[in-house]
Amino acid sequence: MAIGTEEIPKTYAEAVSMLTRWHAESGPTDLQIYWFPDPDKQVVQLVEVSGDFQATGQVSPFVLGRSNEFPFTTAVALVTPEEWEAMESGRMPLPDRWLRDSLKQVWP
Amino acid sequence: MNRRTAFLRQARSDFAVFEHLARQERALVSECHPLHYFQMATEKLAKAALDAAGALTDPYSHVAFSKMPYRLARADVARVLGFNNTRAYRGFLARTAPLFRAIDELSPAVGPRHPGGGPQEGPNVEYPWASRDSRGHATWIVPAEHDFRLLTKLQRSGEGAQVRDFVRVLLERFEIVFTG
Repeated sequence: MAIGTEEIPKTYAEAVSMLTRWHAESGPTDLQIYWFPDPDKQVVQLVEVSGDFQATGQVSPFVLGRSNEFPFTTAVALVTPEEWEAMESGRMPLPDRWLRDSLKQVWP
Repeated sequence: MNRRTAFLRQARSDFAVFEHLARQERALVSECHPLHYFQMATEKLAKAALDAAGALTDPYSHVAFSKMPYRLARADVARVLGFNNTRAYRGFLARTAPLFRAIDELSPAVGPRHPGGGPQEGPNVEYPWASRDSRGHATWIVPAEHDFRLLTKLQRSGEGAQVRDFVRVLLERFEIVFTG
């Protein structure tokens, strides 16, 4: 997998776009990625859906703090299609400040 | 409490600290610190697993976590860990094997040492190591100032969250996986 480590996002929109692209390029063929916009534009919040992922029974994002290489916090949760359905129907809770009404599909 | 449970509970605590440190800004918490806790969590998890198999002889010697996933490449383990697709599970184990080896090598107990048990010769997350600067002069490297590039790799690669979920679920479902 080729990752352009020299690519550093300058804006929140760029950060969302870059992280989505990197994960899509290396992800499974059935991958879907949904973005939950952060009103403060500080955290890139993604839920990635694939039948290849583990069913963990919760939406538990892996959070990494911002750095020189990626000056935005990232929070990425992996779920299966069944868990995604449960999340969409409200049977599986989302993390605080992740608003179901604002989600946008960003891949494919 | 038996030894296995004690190692497992310490591994879970190390993992919680890893997650706490990983979410901090890198300018405030250097990369070596979350990586140190991740390495310690996985090593203690491996020791708990070896103990469950009756194969842990010296609890204070280094145990390589990277050898564990190969032992877990079974369909029944895949199901317990939440993988419905066994082929995808095996593919995940194969793809992430180099990453788990890199995490093992973060320990100062792994890798080359100076003769006579001297300081570590290469990068590790705990102790400074001797090196050369860009002009070839002898110098020392501080782990807290070194760019391991592992967190960046975990962040940019889609497999970062998968690796974290794999270890997290293994810690949560340890008793089912290793003791039936």
